Amino acid sequence: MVSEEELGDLFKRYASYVATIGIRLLGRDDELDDLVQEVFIEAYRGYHQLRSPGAVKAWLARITVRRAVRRLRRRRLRSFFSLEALPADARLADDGVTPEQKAEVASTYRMIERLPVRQRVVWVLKHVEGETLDSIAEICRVSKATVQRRLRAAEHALEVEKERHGVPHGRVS
Amino acid sequence: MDESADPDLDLLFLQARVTPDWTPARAERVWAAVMERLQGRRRPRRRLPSLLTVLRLNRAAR
Repeated sequence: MVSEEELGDLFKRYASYVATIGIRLLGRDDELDDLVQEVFIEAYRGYHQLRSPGAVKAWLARITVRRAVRRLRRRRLRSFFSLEALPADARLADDGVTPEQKAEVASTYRMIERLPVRQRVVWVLKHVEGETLDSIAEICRVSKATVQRRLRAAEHALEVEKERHGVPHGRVS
Repeated sequence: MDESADPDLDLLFLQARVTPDWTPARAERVWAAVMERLQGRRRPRRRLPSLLTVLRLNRAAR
């Protein structure tokens, strides 16, 4: 088990990285603090499973994805029973971008909210996080073929959504 | 599959830089919550007496 001091060092170094992946996966800020807490508590308990200290960043990314998936599934369940409404316009983009870009990002997140969680995760890791297919396969612990299949399904579903809302091909809003 | 199937989207997210508002104060707050949860877990639990001990005590009390 890692000491509290070592955990503190990990937190100082990687908390902002974990928070960045977290917000990109969750698509909103209100669950982020809890997610970051969960990731570092799991890291504390599972540190002995980490084979190479050099792989700590990728390991934290895997924990973040796993924890975010749980939260997204719970959220889908709550929204299925109408216990939770989506925030109208979550603050997702930097202040330096244009209002149009902010609106596009928010609109894309509203569409991906309807995707199955596994498809959503690979889509976000690819398009928002900018990860390669190999890296997504490693983070999600699935084969590259599975990543490709989920990505294709997500992209198809988003195309259908865009057409349903009358958005021209090649644009996201 | 092409590694960048939708360059429009990749560019949009690159420019929009979806990032959390992760301030030092927020990090400190979250870290304090992590420590609180970890220390809470390690707080010594009050041990309940075993069934055998309860039976013995009951018998002795009679």
